[in-house]
Amino acid sequence: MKLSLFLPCFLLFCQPSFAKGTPDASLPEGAVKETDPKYPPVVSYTLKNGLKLIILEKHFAPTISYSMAFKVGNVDSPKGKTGLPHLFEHMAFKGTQTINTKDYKKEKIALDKIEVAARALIAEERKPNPDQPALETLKKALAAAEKEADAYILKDEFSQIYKNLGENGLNAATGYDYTFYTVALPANQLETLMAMEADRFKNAVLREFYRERSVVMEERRMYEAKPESALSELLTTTAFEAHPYRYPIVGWMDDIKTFTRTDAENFYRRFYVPNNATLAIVGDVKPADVIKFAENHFSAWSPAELPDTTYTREPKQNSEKRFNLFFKANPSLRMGFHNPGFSSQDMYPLIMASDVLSGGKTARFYRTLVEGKQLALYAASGATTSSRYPSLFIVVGAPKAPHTVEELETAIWDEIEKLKAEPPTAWEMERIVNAHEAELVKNLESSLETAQSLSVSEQIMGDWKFDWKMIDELRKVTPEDVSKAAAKYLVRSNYTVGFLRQPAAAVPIHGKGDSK
Amino acid sequence: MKNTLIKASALGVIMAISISAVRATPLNLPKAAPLDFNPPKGERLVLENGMTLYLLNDPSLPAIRISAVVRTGTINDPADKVGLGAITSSMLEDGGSLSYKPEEIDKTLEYLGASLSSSMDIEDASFSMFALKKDLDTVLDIYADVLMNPAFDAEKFKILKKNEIEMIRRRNDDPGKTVMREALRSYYGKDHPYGRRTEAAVVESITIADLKAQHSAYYRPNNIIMAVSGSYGSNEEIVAKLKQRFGKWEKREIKATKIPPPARNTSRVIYFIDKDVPQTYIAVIQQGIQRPDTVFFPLGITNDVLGAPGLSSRLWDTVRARKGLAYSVYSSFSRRNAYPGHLYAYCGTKPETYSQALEEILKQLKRVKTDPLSAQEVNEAKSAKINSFVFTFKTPFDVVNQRALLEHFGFQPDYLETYVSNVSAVTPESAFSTATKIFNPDNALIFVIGNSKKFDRPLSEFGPVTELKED
Repeated sequence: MKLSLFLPCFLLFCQPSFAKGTPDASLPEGAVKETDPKYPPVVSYTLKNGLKLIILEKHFAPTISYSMAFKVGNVDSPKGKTGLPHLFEHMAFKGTQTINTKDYKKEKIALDKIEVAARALIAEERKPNPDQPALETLKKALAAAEKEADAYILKDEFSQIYKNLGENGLNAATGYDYTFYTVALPANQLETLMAMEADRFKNAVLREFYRERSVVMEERRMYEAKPESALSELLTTTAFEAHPYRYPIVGWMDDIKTFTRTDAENFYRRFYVPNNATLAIVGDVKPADVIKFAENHFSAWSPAELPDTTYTREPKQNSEKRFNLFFKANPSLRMGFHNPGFSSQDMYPLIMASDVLSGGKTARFYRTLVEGKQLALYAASGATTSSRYPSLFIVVGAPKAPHTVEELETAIWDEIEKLKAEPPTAWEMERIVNAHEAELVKNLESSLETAQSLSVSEQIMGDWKFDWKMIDELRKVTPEDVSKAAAKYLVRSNYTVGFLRQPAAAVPIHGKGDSK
Repeated sequence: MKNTLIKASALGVIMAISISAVRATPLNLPKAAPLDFNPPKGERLVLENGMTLYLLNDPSLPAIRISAVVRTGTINDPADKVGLGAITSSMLEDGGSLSYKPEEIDKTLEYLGASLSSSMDIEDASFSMFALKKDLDTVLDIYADVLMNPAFDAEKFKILKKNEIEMIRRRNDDPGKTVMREALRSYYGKDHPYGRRTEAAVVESITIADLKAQHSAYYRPNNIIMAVSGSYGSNEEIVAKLKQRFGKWEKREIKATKIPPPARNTSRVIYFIDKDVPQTYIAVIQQGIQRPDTVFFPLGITNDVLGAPGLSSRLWDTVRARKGLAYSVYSSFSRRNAYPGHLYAYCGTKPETYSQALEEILKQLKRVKTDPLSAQEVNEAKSAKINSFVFTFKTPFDVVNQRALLEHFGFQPDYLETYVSNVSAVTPESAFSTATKIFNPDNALIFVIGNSKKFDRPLSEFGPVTELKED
C-alpha cells in the first residue's frame, strides 16, 4: 500500500462514458471504441454482471498491464474496523479454493478451527482485565490450529505463479476511496491472467489471516516511525470530526487487533462484486480477445446490491485547530483546509490555486519561500486528498534552520492572502494547464500506470476520461475564480495546522499566523 | 534477429515446465502460445568528438526523452570535498548557462511542461530532459547549453548549499533510511568512496570554482553516452540537431580516479544505535560482487530464491508471511561497482521480537551457503527471470537508456542478446558453488537501530556490539 502526500486526483462525477463512442465491426456487440482524437482509442465494454472493461492497445512491447479497481476504500470500513479494507487487500494475495492449497475441503475444516480459537482469544483480550494464564492457553490453541492448517497450504503459490510467468509490478493499493490490484505479464499470458484474477475475486480464501494481521501491524509501526506519516495521520484525524475520512488507511492499532477473518469475509462479500469493479488492460492485445476471455472467466461472478455508502457529512468547521506533534525529528508543518469535493465546480479553481502556489520553481512557494526569503527547505500544496467526498486542501512545509515553523506558517499565509488579493497572471494560468497536458502524455508512457488510472477514474469518478476532462474544466477557470476560491476556502475558520517538533523544544505557541 | 526468435520460443517451454512443477492441484491454467519477440536495439553511433548516441524513434507519443549518461560519480569527489559531484550535478538543474539565466530556463521549461533533471550516483551520473514534440528545438537548445556551458549562478549556489546543509541536519529523521546509510559507511569505512557521506562543513567549503573544475573534468563529449527516444522524426533529423548543438564541444582526456579496493570483513561485527522508535531496523552486510562479474547470473538466481524484493522468497516466507514479523524484509546486492560491492539483507520489525527476525535472516543467509537450492526453486527463479525479460524493453526510453548504462558499466555489447541463454545456463550446482564462495553470514556486519529496552534478547548474543551515537 502506498501512502503519498497527495493521492492523485482522479475523480469527478461526469456522465457515464459508455454512452458515447462508435461500434467497431471487429468487436462484439456492446463494445464501443473511442474515436475522438482528443482521447486515447479506448475500447469499453460491460459484462452482464456489471463488470466494466477498459482496453487500450499499445504494441511497443509484447506485454499486458492489468489493473482492477474497486469502489471500496478505508472510508467504507465497518464501525470499529478501520483498516479492514487495507487488510483485505493483503488477503487478496493469499489464494483461492484452488490456489495456495493442497486440499481445500480439509483445509476449510482447519481454517474454521483457527477462527474459533482466534475469536476466543480476541474475546479474552478485550476483557477489561484479561486473565493472563487464560490468554497463554488461548494463544497456544491458536498457534496449534494454525499449525494444523499449515499442512494444507502451498506457500505463496498465487504470487509464485505470477513470478514464474514473469510478472512485473504485482501489487495493490488501498486508499480512502478505492482499492486497486495491478500486475503486468508477457502478452502471451492474457488468458492465464484472466483465469487467475477471476478466481482470485470469485473464490478468495482468507487463509493465514491472523499472521497477515501481524504483518499489517508492522506496516503500521513503520508509518509511526516516519515523521511525515505521523504528522499526516494526526492532521487528518484532527481536521475531520465526523466523516470517515478521518481514519487512517492502515487502521488504528487497536482496531487491527480485533479484526477477525469473519469480519473480512463479510466485507469481501459486500464490496468485492463485479458491479463494483472496473478491469483495465493496456498493452499488446486485441480488444476482442480481452472481451472474449473476460466473458469466459468473469461472467459467472455474481453481482449483488451495493451497500449504502452515504456517511455522516463533515459539519462546517467554524474553528481554527492547531496542534504540536512531539517527535524526534526536525520540524515541519502540515495544514489542512476542507475542500468542497468534486461535486462542486469550486474544485477546479482550487486545483488552479494549489498549482499557482506550488508545483515548480516558478510557482510562488518556491520563488518566495525556498528562494526569496530562503526560510523553507520545501513547501508544497495539493488541492485534494481523496475524491468521493469532500476532502482536504493540504499544504506541507519544512523550515530551514534557524528559521522556525512559526515563521514558515506566517510566510505561507502571506502567499495565501496575496493570492486572494491579486488574481494569478495569465502566464501562471497557462503554465498550469500546459503542465497538466504534459503530465497526461507522461502518464501514457507507462502502461501499468495508464491501466491503473483508467480503471480508478472509471470506477471512482465514473469516467475513464476524467483526467482529460479535468483539463477542460481547468481551462475554463478565470484568474478571478482562483482568488475567489482561495478567499472562500483558505480561511482561518476552515483551518487545521499541525507542527512536528522535538519534544525538548516544545513551547506553547501563540498563533503567530494570526497577525493576518 | 533470427537468434532472438529462437530464444523467444524457448520462453514458452520454460513457462510450461515451471507451471506443471509448482502445481499440486491443477488449476487448469491455459497454455500460452510462444511469445514472438524481437528486442529492439536502437541505433548506436559515435560523433566525431567521441559522444556516443543510442537512438530509438517512436512516434506513438508526442514527446522526446534524452538522457546523457556521464562517466563520473561520487568516487571522483576529492577526499576533502565529499559532496562536490552531487552538488555539481544538482546545480545543472538550478544554475543557468552561458546563454540562459536560471529564471529564463525555469520559466521557459515550466511553461512548456518540459523538464531537466540530473542525478549522481557512486559510479555514474546523468543529465536528462523531457519535452513535448512541438517544443523539442527550444528545450534541446537549453539542455545542450546547460550540459556544455553551465553557469553555476552564485545566488542559486548559495541557496542550494543551505538546502544541502538542512538535508544533512535531517538525515536521521527516518531511521529506516539511516540504518542502510550507516551500515554501508561502517562496512566500507567512513573515508572509503563507497561508504563516505557529506558533512555540513565540507558543503560550506565548496566553491563555484570547484564546481567548474569538476564539470570541466568529467562532463565532456567523449565521456558521455546519450540515450535519445521519442517522436523526433527520423534518426537523420535528430542526429543533425544533436550535431548542430554538440558537434563543436571539444573532447578532452579524462583522468581516471583510482580508489583503494574496499576491505573485507573477517569476523562478525555489530554496530548499534539505541533509539526509541516503534520498529527495530536491521541491516546485514557482507562482501558482494563487482561488475561485470560472470557470477551475476548464478548469484542472481540464488538471491531471487533467498529474498529479492517481491511477493515470494525464503525471507518473505519465513520472516513475513509465516511469522508475521515484518512488513519489509528483503535481500539484494550491488552490481554496478568497479570493486567488490556489497550483499545485504534489510528488515524493519518490532523490538519485542527483533531477535527472531534477525535469527531467521542469518539462518536463511547461511542456508544458501550450506544447502543447494532445490531444482524446483532454481527452475522457478529461472522462469521468472527469463519470462520477465520483456519488461526490460517496456518503453522506447527504457531500451536506449539501459543500452547506454550497460555500455557505461562495461557489460559486453551482447549482454541483452545473451541474457536469456545465460540465465538458462544456471544449474543448482553452479548456483550453489557461487553461493558457497560468496555468502558469509558468520562474518557479516550487522547494523541495528532500535529501542534496546524493549529487546527480547540482548544484541550481544549475536556477536560483539559496538554502540554508536546517531550523528
